[in-house]
Amino acid sequence: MNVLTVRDLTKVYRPRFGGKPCTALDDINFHVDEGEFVGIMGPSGAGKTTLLNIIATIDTPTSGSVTIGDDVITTLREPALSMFRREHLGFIFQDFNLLDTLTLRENIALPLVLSHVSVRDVDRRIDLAAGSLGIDALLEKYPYEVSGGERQRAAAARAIVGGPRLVLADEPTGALDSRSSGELLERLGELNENAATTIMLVTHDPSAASYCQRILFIKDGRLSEEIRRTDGRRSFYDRILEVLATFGGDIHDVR
Amino acid sequence: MSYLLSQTFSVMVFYVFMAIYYNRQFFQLSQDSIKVMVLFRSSAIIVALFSVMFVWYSNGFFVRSRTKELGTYALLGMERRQIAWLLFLENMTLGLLSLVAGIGLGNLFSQLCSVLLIRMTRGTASVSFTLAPEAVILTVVLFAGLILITSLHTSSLIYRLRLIDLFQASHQGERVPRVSVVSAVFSVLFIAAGYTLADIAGSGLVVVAAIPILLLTISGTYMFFRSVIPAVVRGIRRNRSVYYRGTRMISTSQLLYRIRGNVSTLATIAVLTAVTITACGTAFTLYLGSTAVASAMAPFSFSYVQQTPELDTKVQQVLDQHSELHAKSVMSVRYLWVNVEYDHQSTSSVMIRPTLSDRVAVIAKSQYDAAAQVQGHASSQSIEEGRCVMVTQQVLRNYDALDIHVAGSILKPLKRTVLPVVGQSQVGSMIVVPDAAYAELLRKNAGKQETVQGYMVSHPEQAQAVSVLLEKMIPEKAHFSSYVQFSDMWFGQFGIIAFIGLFLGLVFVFATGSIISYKQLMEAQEERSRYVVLRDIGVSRSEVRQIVARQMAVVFGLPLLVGICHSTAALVALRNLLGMNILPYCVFVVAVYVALYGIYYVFTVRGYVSTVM
Repeated sequence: MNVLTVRDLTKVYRPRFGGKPCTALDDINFHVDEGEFVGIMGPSGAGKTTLLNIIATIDTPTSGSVTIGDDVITTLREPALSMFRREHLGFIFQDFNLLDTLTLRENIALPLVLSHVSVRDVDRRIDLAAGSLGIDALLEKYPYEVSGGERQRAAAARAIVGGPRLVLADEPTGALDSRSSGELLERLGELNENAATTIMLVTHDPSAASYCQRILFIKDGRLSEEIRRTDGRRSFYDRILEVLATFGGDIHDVR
Repeated sequence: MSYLLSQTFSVMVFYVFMAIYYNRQFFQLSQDSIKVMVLFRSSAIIVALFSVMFVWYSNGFFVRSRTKELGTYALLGMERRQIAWLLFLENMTLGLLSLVAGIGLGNLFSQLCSVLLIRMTRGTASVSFTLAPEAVILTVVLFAGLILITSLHTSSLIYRLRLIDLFQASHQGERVPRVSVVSAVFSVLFIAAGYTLADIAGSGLVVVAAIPILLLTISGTYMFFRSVIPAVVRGIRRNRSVYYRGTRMISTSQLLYRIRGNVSTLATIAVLTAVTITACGTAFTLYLGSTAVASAMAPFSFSYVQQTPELDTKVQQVLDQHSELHAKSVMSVRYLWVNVEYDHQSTSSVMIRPTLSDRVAVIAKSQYDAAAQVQGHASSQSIEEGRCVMVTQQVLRNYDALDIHVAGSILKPLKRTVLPVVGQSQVGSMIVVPDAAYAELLRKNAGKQETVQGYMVSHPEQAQAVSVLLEKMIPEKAHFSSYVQFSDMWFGQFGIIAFIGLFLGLVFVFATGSIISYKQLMEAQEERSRYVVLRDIGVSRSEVRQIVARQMAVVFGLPLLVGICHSTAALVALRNLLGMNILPYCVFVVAVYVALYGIYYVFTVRGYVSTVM
């Protein structure tokens, strides 16, 4: 079943007072099935964050449509948009995920509390989510009291606690050291395998991307390649590097 | 821009006050009464202090909001000396601009205020609107000096901060504020103690008790904000079913940090609010209550003790000549001067003000009622045999335990408050008795009878000329009293006090409202990243507005509430002192205060929401 369908998506930035328009996304088409772990890769400026923002309903396209489940989100308006975001999507950003005035437990509870879920259910779901991310021992602590990796895992727990149709992650390991990165991605992988959580990961880091099952490459606003994992992670990683190397004969394009 | 406005405002306020003070006419007015002059002078100092503080404060905000900009200049390689000079020039220019604008606007405004003052003091002089040079000089000197200092301070900022500080958002390693239950309990105790003391203190003790009352209340307030509020918030957090409700979780958790960072500001504002409301309430009570006081001093528009029939005729003639006064009625009030003895049964204090007079006037109920009717305060309550009603200016408590011995009989006072019917200068203390008792006293020849001739006119307050005429005509021993004598005196005195109260009250409201507003808007800048997170996880616009509105409500409302509480206690003490009903005046003052504050609240919420979204 399709969780996400992106059709003819285009985003053009027209500066207000004249000047050259800039095409960030040009006629993007793809779809994501339920239970997939998809990665979006490309050099910076390629349009990955723009694509993610549009799918996340944070931004709007110039033309084209995005459908998540049964809802054509590009036609939604506030406040339906905020509602949709709250109920059907989960986010993990690179920075500033958590509110520093709330404990980890309260942070994770936030989407549920906003949706007026009953207190008993909230606690139950938090415990489940925290368990699957391995942070149940840290729930009563404040964000400043735990490490970066643990914070991101809490953010991931918050992303999944509402049972979203789609989890969107924008460079979640960007600010983490390699060990924490690995931990986070392992957990995400487990979530995907065991709970069939659909995850879309945007990254420029090949080792992070290697945890995905399928990777879409974007260059200059267009989808250029797509590869799927067939073997182990290590060989997938090598294939990713190969693809990246073919992006322009220029040494500057390889990250 | 708002910085410029607030500067101009400060200058204007100070200038207006000075202009009025130094205005030729008011100089004269204030010279007549030492008290008024002292009041004016001290108010001027307060206004000056306030202006200084306000300018300093808003300057601080202004600077802090530009740290990123300064950092950029420094990063681009601008020398520190150049940046300092730039800041200095900017500050001086803005300052001088606000000085000129302030004086200009102040001039316009002072004319308005002068007219108001005249009205309030029921003065008859017409004020000439000349520019008072002393006021201008004083204002210029004060503010030029102030601007110079702040400019220097601002420009030295660049030397004092490290470059990195200018760029980095203050990383709030926010720790949970430790809550001290002990301090919370103590704060409430302190405040309660202050209130009780204020209630107990009689008129004589008030001055002595003022210091400890203030100390207790002020320190109690600070501790209150420091510990009680966090304790309450923590309590809410523990209760999950209350806490986990929609946006409440967000606004409550942030509240803890918001309060903690603002403890001294909020406590100060609470105290200032209390002071302002009390002062304004007192001023207005005294002023608007003057009518009641004047009526109590001179219930008849004109009255005198009857001497000879010829005098009566002459007085009547004068009043007939001045038909513009519309003399409504005339009556003779008869009473009996007797010697009395007092005997109080209970050991607890009967009086607040000492000494009831031994020589009182006794009046028959029917006479009293007739006079009250003419004066417009008739009531239909009766007096039982053996009882009486005391009419006195003194404030009494527990006087139903009193026994009054007169000419062999004992009268027990009823617990009832009634208005006087004869002038203060004619009779100090009066007792109303049933007609039968009066007849009895007459029969026993208990004392000397006297009659007061009283006239009521339609507009007693406009009768100055006639009053003067009559005063010349009527002999000293007839104790002539007129309403207009008292009303002029009281309004004259209290008019100025009320004016100062009004002025300072408004200044304080604007100042405190602006301070809170500023602070919140500054914090809004720092909160932006948080709200981005919230928006991204699906908090809608209206929910953001809700969160902000709730937080602002607490930040604005809490000091206001505490301030109103304190001032209520103080005003209750005032009521005990004066013995009059001051409720409507105080309610009015509080209502106006709250309304003005409310305007600040609305604008702050708007500004905050637009900053974070």
